[in-house]
Amino acid sequence: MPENRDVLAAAPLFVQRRYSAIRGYVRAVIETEFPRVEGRLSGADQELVQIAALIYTLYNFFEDGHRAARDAVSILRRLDVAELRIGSQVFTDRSEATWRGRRLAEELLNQIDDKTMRDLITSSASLGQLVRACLVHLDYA
Amino acid sequence: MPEWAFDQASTKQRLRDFFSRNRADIAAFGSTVNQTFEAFVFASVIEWYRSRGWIVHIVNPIDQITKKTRFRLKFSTRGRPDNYSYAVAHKRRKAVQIRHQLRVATNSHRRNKRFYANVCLDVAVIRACDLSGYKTFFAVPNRSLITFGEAKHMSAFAELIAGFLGLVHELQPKRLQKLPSRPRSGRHLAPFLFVSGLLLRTAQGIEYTIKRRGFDVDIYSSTNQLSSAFAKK
Repeated sequence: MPENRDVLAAAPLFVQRRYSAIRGYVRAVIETEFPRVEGRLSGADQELVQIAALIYTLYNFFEDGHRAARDAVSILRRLDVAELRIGSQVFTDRSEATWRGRRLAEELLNQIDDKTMRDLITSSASLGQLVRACLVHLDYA
Repeated sequence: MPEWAFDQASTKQRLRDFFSRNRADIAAFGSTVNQTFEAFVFASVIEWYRSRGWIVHIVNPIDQITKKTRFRLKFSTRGRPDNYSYAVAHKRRKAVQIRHQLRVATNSHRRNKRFYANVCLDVAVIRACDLSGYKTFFAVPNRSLITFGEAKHMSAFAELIAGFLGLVHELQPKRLQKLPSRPRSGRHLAPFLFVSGLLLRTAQGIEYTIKRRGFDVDIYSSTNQLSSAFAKK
């Protein structure tokens, strides 16, 4: 099974950096909320929680970015602004730039076969809640 | 509890392929997402006024090459205000301008002093005035500032919220006066901080004390929270 850092080898640098922060956050949640679990958590299970946290964070990153672009374009259109340009990218109702985040979020989610995990990713209210749910499903809490 | 059938090895392999396949797209998304959130906050402030009966129109600069007007936001602290688009909102005899990345003098700044004290605000709502002669480092007088919003593409931690309060203290210190019952801004938005990510626990602690102290500021996390808070009740 590939290690998490190998999974990210082809990802842009900012995603790799974000993963480092996520690992720290996951560790902090486990340390503070599940101190008894900390020493018992196997390496594989720890990687599972971390990879779930990465998917959750990226999924919401793509979705939020898409929603921000879509809503900005929609509001500005009502004021007769046909397009929003950021650098060389053009944001309109239907442009690739506006919908890129949604497409990436959906494709990312489709990499998970397990429905329970998919539901956890899309319905958890916070990263902390996702970590807690993973530990429950893994029988640690 | 639903059955747990998550195949970690298979998911990791597929994720690796996902990143290989979409590397360029993810990079393109990441390179503009900060500005996208700024544009979203700018547009949301406009929408706040529009949905409360203000008549809003956009003023665009003239493109030097095509000689036509073009919508252009100011995604940098540098640049003359005149070269960028802004919104004008009218209601009865009142008029305000909604500007992006506008430099505004702090409350303590005094003219003819050695140093300039001013801050570039992500979104500033100011009293209607003519900024056509303003250069990059000219600042709008503090008395013209009505309210403002800051957008951060990140999760909020305590220090970020404290930094925002420092900004409010520099620009509109009266917003931080302790009052027995908080008089909501009503006719205009309160100064606000928008973070695209989570409000971490340390930030939630500061936010709690902000409410307890009755400060006239708001903190929003996520696009959904901002949109629903700005929607007319």
